Amino acid sequence: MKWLLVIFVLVISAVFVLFQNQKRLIREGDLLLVSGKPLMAISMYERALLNYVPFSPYNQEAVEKIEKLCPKLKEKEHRLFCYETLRSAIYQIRGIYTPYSEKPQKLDKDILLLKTELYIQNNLPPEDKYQQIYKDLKAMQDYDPYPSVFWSILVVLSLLGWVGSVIFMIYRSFRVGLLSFVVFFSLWVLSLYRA
Amino acid sequence: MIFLLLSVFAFFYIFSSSKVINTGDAGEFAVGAITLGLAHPSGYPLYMEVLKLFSFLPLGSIPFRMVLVSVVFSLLSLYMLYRLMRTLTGNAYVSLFPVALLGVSYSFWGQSVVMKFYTLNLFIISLLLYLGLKAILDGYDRRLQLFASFLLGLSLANHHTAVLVIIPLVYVSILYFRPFLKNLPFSIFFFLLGFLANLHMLIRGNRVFAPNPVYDLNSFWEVFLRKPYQQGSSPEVAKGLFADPMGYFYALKNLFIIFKTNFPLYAFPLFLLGILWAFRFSKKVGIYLSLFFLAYSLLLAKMTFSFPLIKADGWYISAHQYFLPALFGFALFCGLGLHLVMELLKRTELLKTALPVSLSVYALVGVFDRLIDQNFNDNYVTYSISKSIISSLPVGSLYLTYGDNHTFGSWYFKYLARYRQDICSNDYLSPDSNTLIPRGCYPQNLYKDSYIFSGFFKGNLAEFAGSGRLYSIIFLKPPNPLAEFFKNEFWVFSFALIPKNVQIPEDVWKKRLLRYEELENLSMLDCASYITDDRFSATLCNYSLPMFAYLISRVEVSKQTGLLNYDVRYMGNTFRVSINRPGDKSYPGAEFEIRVGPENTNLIDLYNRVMQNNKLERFIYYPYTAEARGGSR
Repeated sequence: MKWLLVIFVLVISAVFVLFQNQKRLIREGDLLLVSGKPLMAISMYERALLNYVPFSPYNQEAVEKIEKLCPKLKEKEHRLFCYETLRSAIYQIRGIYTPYSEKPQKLDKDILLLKTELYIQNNLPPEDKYQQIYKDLKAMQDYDPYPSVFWSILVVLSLLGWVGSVIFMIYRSFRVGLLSFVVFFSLWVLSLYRA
Repeated sequence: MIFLLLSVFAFFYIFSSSKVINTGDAGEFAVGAITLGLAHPSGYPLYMEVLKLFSFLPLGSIPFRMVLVSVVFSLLSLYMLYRLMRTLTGNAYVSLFPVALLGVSYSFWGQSVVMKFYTLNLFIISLLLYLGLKAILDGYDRRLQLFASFLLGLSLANHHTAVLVIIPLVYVSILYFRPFLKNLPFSIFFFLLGFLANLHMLIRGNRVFAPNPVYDLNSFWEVFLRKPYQQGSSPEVAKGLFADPMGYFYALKNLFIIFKTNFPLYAFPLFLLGILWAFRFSKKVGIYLSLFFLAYSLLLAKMTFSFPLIKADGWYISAHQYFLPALFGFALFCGLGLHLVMELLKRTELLKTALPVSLSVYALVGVFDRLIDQNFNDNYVTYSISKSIISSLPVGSLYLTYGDNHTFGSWYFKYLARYRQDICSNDYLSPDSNTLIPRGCYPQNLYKDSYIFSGFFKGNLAEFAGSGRLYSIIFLKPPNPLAEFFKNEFWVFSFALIPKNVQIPEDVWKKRLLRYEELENLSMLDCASYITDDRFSATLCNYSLPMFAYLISRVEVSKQTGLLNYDVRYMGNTFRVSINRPGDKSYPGAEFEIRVGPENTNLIDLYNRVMQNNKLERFIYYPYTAEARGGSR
């Protein structure tokens, strides 16, 4: 029970500190925007989102502010920075549930078009290669190294399971422990393969 | 009381923890964990899986969730310290003191708030220490032996220094030699069960991103034994114990500095009294705890930290990271020393409570220092600089990195943040080599088969670079064979490598560079404002300064009020940079002028603030470094 106090303090401290950070970073972003520094403001909103707290109004505020700023930027490179920043911030806060998971798909289209345009503009490839360039950039952008959430959860839970089984084997019952070890260990190996 | 104290630490550690990736290995760990892959040798599979578990928490960014692993295991280690003290002394109040002492110490706090495996390692070691102590105090118990064997096996899937705990444990096995020997086959069985956690490397080591892939048993042992590090491989490091006896003198000297830096002066007499108390309490306990302390202080220092002069980076990497178990042992003895003092005061009941509690509270005064020198809450240096560089690269660029800070930062953005996935980053085998390792272009076929990178993968690097898409972190210079073909042009905290026969009009270059002025500005503001005493943050910021100076020099000024000559030289094959120092011109580098005017005065001020904030003198170990003492080792 006493450990619950420590866990409670851990969670409450994390929520409090992240929330305070969000509040401060949004304010700093607003100030930078007023002083005509949109890229710096976007970076502050990005940081606010990286200090993500479930149900905090600042998450939505940060996303909206970045989304609003992106189309207003004149330079293509800056727009690319803006869209990519929002997309990557969302990927950096994903877990079992990904907040704003619908956003990256929408952003992908804008990003791909911008990248293709910029590549063509800078490198002047032959016209018949435009499609290929788009496809190359799309393939790179679509690659997601994040393993399956389901199998990943199984990996870590079955690890805990087989470590616990060994301890059970030592301190309680060798037979029962061994049996559960075999089950959890097999599950662990399987999920490592499947993740 | 202990849970209250742990809660206090929980708050402070969370408050000062890194909210994004920190310097060093964090970027690599985050990528290895999120993909359920590996980190650098020895792979750290156990740590990868624990990080992965925490990455599912719905709070903050993924790196912050992973930092929570350090926080949680540092709290558990503090609790183990308390348990050990309680078991030995039976005094709850005295047992708080070493917890407070260790909790606020410079390195323990520092490792608790960044993404690193040292607190997990310490927890396993402290648990093993506790098991051994239980065996000495309560008599032989087969279960303790088997559990310790399992933990030892498991610890090898994290960090190899855990193995040193065998030294005190061997002593316990000698005490109970017969039953120990009888159960040895079971011990081996349970050790192997723990070691099975390393199977992760064989299964995942070639399926996803891994800096050093594991294909088969041979490559498994290569990675597990850290063979790619040659002299730094685990077997070679262990050999250091028997080489150069003078090393023990330097090891002792350096250890004294580490303890002096981490603990207040009044802890030293308590430490000595603690050793005395342990031997008075029981010879066996005295020997057991002393062996533990010796293994993690003197022996570890002899293997890793026994040179007469050590550079700042060496102090940062070794002194600040490896010795957490030694600090743990030191704090334990200090606690026992206080208990001895308490025994002398046994007739004064009030003092028996008041003294340990007030000493514990007094020890907590160090919190104020730690909230400055180990506060990573606003340290965005690695994140900011890496992101600025990657953001500035044209679509389809090749980014050549070297060193953990830049390389791991690029991997983080590529694989975890999925930022600018059109960039293919390679790391130099060494700054003097043209061998490039495409570890930031995974899966390789996507890049190899593409039209965009076909030139590079076919070996037409010059043609590829001609399109302005080749960038390098290091200033290319002889003996690197590439230096013959490319010149370095200052870019956003990096260099554009341009074929020597290609001329880029200055106006065009200036316009391109100034497009990223805001991003450079932001990173430099991060460099000027962070408060952490973090060597790698300082190295990153200092290395980025000349590029920032170049940007300042490109800013158009309406009314010139002054002229600055800027001279930068790149020395050695690392990140050593010399700025405006007479006599350094024998090294390759660049010179340019900065016209000072109202448009760039703010930027020059910012430059100076960054210089000031990243001075080597700020480093806590600076007075003892080779740089301060004028040596070269």
